[in-house]
Amino acid sequence: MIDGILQGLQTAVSLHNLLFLVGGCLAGTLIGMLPGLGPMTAIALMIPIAAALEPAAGIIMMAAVYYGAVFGGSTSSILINAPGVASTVATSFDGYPLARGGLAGKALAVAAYASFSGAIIAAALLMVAAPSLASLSLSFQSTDYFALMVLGLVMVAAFTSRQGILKALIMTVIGLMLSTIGTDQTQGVPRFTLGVIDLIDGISFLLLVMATFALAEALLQILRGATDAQPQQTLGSLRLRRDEVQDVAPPITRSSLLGFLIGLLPGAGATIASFLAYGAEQRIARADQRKLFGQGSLRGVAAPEAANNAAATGSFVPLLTLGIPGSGTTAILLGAFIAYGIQPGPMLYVNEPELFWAVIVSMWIGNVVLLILNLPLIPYIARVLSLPRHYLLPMILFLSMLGVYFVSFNTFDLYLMVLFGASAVLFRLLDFPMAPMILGFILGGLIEENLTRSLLIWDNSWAFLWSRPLTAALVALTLAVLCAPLLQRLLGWRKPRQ
Amino acid sequence: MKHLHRDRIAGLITLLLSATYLWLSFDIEIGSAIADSAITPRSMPQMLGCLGVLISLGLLLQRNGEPLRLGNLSWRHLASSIGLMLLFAATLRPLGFVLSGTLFLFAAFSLLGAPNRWRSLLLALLVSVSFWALMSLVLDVYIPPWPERWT
Repeated sequence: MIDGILQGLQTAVSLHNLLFLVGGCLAGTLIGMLPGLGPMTAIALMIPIAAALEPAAGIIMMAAVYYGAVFGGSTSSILINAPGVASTVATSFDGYPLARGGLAGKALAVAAYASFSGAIIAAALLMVAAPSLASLSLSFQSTDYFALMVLGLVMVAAFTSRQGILKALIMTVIGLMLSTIGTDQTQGVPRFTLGVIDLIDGISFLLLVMATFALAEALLQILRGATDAQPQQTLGSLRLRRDEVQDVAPPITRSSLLGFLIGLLPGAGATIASFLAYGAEQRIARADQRKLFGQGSLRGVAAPEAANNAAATGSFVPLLTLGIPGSGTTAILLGAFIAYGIQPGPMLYVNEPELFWAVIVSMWIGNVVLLILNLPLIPYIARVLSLPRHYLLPMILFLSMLGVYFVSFNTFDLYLMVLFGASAVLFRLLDFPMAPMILGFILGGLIEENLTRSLLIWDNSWAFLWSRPLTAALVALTLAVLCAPLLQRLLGWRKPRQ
Repeated sequence: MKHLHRDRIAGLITLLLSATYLWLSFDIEIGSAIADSAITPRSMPQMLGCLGVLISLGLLLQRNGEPLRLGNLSWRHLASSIGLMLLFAATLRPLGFVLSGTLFLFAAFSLLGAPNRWRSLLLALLVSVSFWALMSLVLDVYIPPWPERWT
């Protein structure tokens, strides 16, 4: 492991990769700060640039964009009460009251230190957990992978759906359907191409991500007539007193551990982690501290920030070791890995330890960069929040289209992108979540491949679903996750609609 | 419209999509050699089509749901933006990158209410030329900047 870390460190700290890491952190912070544009949009917008880089630099940059965007999201939560991402909603509960009270600088500093600590603690845990899980998963067979991927899809649908599991499940199915468009991998037969030559190779992952996130988000803001944000003019001091540091240190440690564990679960992710950590800290706080929650408590900023960053790092464990993304964001990262011809999973650890460790080490370096570079620059970076919408939104539309065109140089892709973007607007107006669709699209090919292989090995019999213990356990878990909402409804546990 | 709450409209749309997908899946060719296999190129699409229809029916049959509220939305801006994007795609090759990009950005800035036309035009031109220069001069990817007949 030490050799691997040193090898990864050598790759990550090369000047070339460091430049992309710093650039990724800054770009992620800038994009993540814009209300509505979260890590998924940030990563999607950066994919065309990453595509032009070698794998290590590209993936290090994308990972940096990811935690840069999470950090940027907390900045807009604190300054304008408009979280860039759902995972920083809990930060705004106390961050915005602090900003209104003239303590924006302190809130931003606590958010930055908590994010840094959360990510660093989680990266240390990742270093221990990832190799163990990767070694364990070497014994997995196609049947287990098939069952594990189906479980991942169902869990993401179950956990990410505010709007009910049926809507998340249908989006997963639509993602799987879209993945079948193009030439079938096993028999070479065209499917759903409708005679269009441009569809023979299927739909590009980049096109779908750009259309459903960046393009759809900008179009939705145009549709809703979003007004320009008014950030706080003065941030106040960024320095923390010793007693303030002592006050936020225990919640940061507890929330980091909680966040990492939640991040390991497919679908749970940073949003659930941040809310759970906020709730837990509020519950265990002394009566005088509890009163401050919601009014401007530094603990209320520290807990969700540490948890969401730890969860974001934790979600890399299933991605790197099993090749299964646990969230929409890591699904996009998986797509980027696949575009490089790299299949994350246990073999990544065995075959490309340099890349595996470089990604993990770059998380440490990236978070140091975020702390020492982005924090002092926050007063300047925050000016992006004042950028008028009538300039910003057309630029996002333009950049999204260029991102797709500069990869394929095919105008058909632009028409298809507009079609998907407009459809995504309709689906989002109807409250459909987009992340399960992306996950279904990414995993569709792998699921079909593993299912075909399983059936070949088991002589065309579906008995593998219940005959192999590990597969059977995963299938049983999938059924349990699917049946839980039904049982809740039958037993009357369901909360009344708000 | 009384019964058309959001989930029901959602269910109708996904039912239509899933049924069309299922119907089209029967057009996938399978050779006679693999016709008896447990899995063919049609299998996964047909499983997904059936699953899609079932889930959509579940959505349609949901009793509770919020009504669809479409008021206070700038449909004109959305339709115009989509139109501008289609126009950009259509003019990209015949007009070249700089011209089509500048036109798209200028029109979109104006559509969304940019106050100063000259500043918008200048910004649109600057962004288009910068991207063209980045691609052509830095990354060595040539894209025609103007209509081909101008060169």
